[in-house]
Amino acid sequence: MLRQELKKIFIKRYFLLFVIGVLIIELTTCIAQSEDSFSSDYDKETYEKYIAAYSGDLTEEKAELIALNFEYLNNPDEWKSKSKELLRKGKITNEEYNIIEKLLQETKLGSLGASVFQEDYEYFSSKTGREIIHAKAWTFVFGSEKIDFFLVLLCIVFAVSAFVSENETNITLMKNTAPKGGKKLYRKDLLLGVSFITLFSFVINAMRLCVGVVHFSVNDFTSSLESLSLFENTSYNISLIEGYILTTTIKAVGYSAFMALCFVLGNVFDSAVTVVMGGVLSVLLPQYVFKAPIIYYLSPISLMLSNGFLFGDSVLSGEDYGGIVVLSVSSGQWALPISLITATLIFAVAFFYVKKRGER
Amino acid sequence: MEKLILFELKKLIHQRYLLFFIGLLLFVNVINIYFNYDLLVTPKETMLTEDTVIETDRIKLQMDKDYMGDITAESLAKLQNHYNIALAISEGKTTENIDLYFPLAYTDMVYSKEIIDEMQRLYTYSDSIINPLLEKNTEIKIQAETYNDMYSIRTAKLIENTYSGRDISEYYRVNEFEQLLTYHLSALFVLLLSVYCASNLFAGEKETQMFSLIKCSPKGEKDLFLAKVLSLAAFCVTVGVIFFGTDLFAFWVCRRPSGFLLPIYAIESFTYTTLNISIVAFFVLISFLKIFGAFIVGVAAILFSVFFSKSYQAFVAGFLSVIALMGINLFTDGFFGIIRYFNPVTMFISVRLFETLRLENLLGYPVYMYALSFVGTLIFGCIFLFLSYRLYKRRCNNA
Repeated sequence: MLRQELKKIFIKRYFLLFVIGVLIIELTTCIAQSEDSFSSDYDKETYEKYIAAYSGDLTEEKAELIALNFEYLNNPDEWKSKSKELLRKGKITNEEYNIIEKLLQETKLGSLGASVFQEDYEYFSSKTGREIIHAKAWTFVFGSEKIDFFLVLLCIVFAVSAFVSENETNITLMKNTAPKGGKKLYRKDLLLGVSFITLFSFVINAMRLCVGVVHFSVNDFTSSLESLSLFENTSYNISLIEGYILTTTIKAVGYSAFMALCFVLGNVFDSAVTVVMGGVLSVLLPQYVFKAPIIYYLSPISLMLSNGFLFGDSVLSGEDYGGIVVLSVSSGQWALPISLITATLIFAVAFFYVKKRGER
Repeated sequence: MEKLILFELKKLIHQRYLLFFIGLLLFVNVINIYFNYDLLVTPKETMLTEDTVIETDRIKLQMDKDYMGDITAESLAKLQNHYNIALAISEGKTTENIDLYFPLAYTDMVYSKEIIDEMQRLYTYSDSIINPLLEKNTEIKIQAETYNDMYSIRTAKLIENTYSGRDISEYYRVNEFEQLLTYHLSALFVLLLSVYCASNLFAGEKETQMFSLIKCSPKGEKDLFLAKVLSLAAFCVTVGVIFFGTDLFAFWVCRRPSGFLLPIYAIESFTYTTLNISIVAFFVLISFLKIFGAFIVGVAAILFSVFFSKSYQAFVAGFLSVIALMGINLFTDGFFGIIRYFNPVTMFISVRLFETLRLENLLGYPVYMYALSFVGTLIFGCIFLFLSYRLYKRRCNNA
């Protein structure tokens, strides 16, 4: 039965095109954003040279080497004249002098990349326990603190294709009278929708991670989450990859709750275009109009944003921090449980409508 | 034909849930203005200790009221005197007793200075901004005549005609209008409603199996198509008037601007605008352009409505095209990218086009950018209308 339901949705002319279109747009956006991380290829190369040389735990030896390197970076002319002096005195060979010249030249070209590393290093070295990581890559991987609007549209379009159009064509009546129809079938429809969007959400996030790994040659998966400045105050003692899996899972829960919400809207409004409008407004209005914290936590939006849950408790009350407005310092830890309760309530309402639909 | 237009308009308005959405978005709009712009609700500046909070905006409103009206040397001198005494009191240099607006003389001094600066800006607008501009323009014109640079000569003449004779002699709370003029949320709602209605226009007929009947009727083709398009236009105008009228009223209640009939160049960010109309006339102009932009986007959505057989598909396509149009505006290089002239979304941010003198060289003639944008948007609309009609005719002929 599930296979039939899935076939019924994907056989629709434009739905498959839409899904493929969303995938292509997501991939293109990912790649474009990864390209935008540095202002030039030289900067990227320079930054990655530093990461390759110094990534991992910050030991005393490393710190000394980096300090020396920064001295060299910040006073290139001084070093140029010093190295000329050393060459004149015969303390370095011509070859060594050429290497230094080349390095200085490369540094000049990739000076922005070097200064970005310097800024990141100030963060890494400001607290013990932090490791030197490819901060740009992981900032890209964790993504911007905005809802993936194409995924939202996909939820809405799936919900309309799967549930709402049946109301309009009176298939609902036929389904209710069929021997294998009724509540069981609608429950399967809802679970199908939830599974589809969960899978899609995982695919999109996995794609983002893959683009990050390929484009930035990332390999510091097991470094601590706190090493990334985005999670400066996190109370979670987990690695970057664990943090990413956690945020991806939270996002998947958020989008599946949104799918359940679309199912509810599909049962409240019988018209497909109204469900689409309602779904779009339910995301746009809280994000761009009602920015009050309570609205975020009373809707699946807080879960769809997800990064904010790992930010930690040390944020100010009511502060809009990366898209999540934390209620108060003391209740920061309650943000995730409250959002999960909201998602559970949405699922409960959706299952209530499953029952009601089956009784039509 | 009029009866057909009215019939289509009635059908449009009687769509399920449309009135619900209009009401909802209107309510959301008003709530947004109240919570984000109201003087007595928005976070206030505090210049004192934690124990006392002063409603600076409310008191400043009172201060403004006392000095509103004609700017004269006497009123300026009176305010300057108030400022000097407040400054002296705050520095402890005098114990003179004057009626301060704020409990603290320092706060009084700060806001008196603000009003003095604003009054002086308005009072010396002609002498400090317009006259030097016209003098420089004359020099440029003489130089252009020497080199026979026709474009520069024409531009110089245009500037001369536009800016000559400007003067501001009154002080009012005109800068409060800027927030109204740059408020775009209601325009986005009008745009959304326009796309919502347009997506139902033709696809809705197909969903209800009415399309076959329409194809057979004598007025099924041209007349009905035109009636639907005109009904959408009428809808956009009606909804636009409601939303923008509400904005005007809500902002007047929340921010208490004054000086509606003052020229638009009295607002600081519009100092160099090329328009010589009043603030209220400018607001009407901007609202018309936004309604026009929403209608043109609706016309684009009509194409999707004719193309798709389901109204939700047309709505999704229309919505995605709105996002694409907004993206084009954000990511085209430089403000003067030619593609922006044909983008109807430019009409929603058209207020920026009027802020200062922006000209384009069209075959040696200086043309205002806002005029080009308007014509470009009109061309965009005509193209989509033509395409929609051709597709509609083909669908009708495929019986």
